[in-house]
Amino acid sequence: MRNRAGSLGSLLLLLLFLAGLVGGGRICSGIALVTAFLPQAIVASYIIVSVRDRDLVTAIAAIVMLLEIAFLVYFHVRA
Amino acid sequence: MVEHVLLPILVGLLGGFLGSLFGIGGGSLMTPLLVATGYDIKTVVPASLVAIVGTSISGLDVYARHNMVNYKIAFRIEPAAILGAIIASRIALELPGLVLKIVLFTVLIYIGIDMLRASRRVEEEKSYGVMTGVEPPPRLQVLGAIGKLGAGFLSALVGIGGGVVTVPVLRRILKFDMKEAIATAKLDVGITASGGAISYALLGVLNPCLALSLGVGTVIGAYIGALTGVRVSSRTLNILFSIFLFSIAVLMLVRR
Repeated sequence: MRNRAGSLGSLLLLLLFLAGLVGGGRICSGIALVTAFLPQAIVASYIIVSVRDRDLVTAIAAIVMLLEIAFLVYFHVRA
Repeated sequence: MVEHVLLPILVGLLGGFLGSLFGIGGGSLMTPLLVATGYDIKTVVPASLVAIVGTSISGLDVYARHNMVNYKIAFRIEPAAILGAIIASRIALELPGLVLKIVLFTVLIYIGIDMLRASRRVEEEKSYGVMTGVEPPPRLQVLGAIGKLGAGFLSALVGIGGGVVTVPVLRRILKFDMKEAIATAKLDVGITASGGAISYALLGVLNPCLALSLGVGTVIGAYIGALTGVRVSSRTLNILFSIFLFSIAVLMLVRR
């Protein structure tokens, strides 16, 4: 099941990229941006895992990672 | 069409395939290849970072399935890498293209020499990681984070995954097994590239069409590479690949 989910994820990513290329313009930009944020989604989900495991050091580090990106976006928008 | 879509797809295919085969990140091949074909390095770097995120995520599954990814240590040392990537992306746009090319040239020569030495290397004793079930002491984790700061900086500066720094950091500082170091670096590289890619996107210098074309190529190339199930370790092939790297490095540098 897990194998299938992984292969399906790669296929989905490939289809997304192709859809972006065919769609062009804003669709292309949107998908590129979503892709850039994908690892942050993994980081966010791992916070739940580390809190559940009472591993506060990892949870804090993961929160710091998300904050770094959040501040980057915040300062850019504000500027 | 050919120049802006097909060429990056082909470069991505080659980068993804060879990267998977030789256990190096696709970025260290994609970026110089595109620059050698005439693309501006400042356009290639952000696009390459997005493609690296795609390759990292799609390739991570194979390693995660075999329980080789050390998420805990990866997340603990990664904030430093993101910081490095953000700083580099702000600096890179101010630097002349030639300086970036020289940095990338140096990195490629380093990877080439490292591959030449690979077959002679004696594996050091590994003490920590999920394979041994022992966590590295906090002092080593701090040193690892400092190393990752450099990896993040280099990654966003010249559009490579940063595996060239991450794998040695995980192996030599945190004493990980080679397989665990490569698997954990796969995750690390994606997160680091994500920091650089987001920063470049906010600065408005990301070419999404180029990024997705590269992404399509690398995802397919890495998949084909993984399907072959072969990790090339032959000395002759390592030498040939090093010569290939040296050639791209020189071509990229002399290309105006």
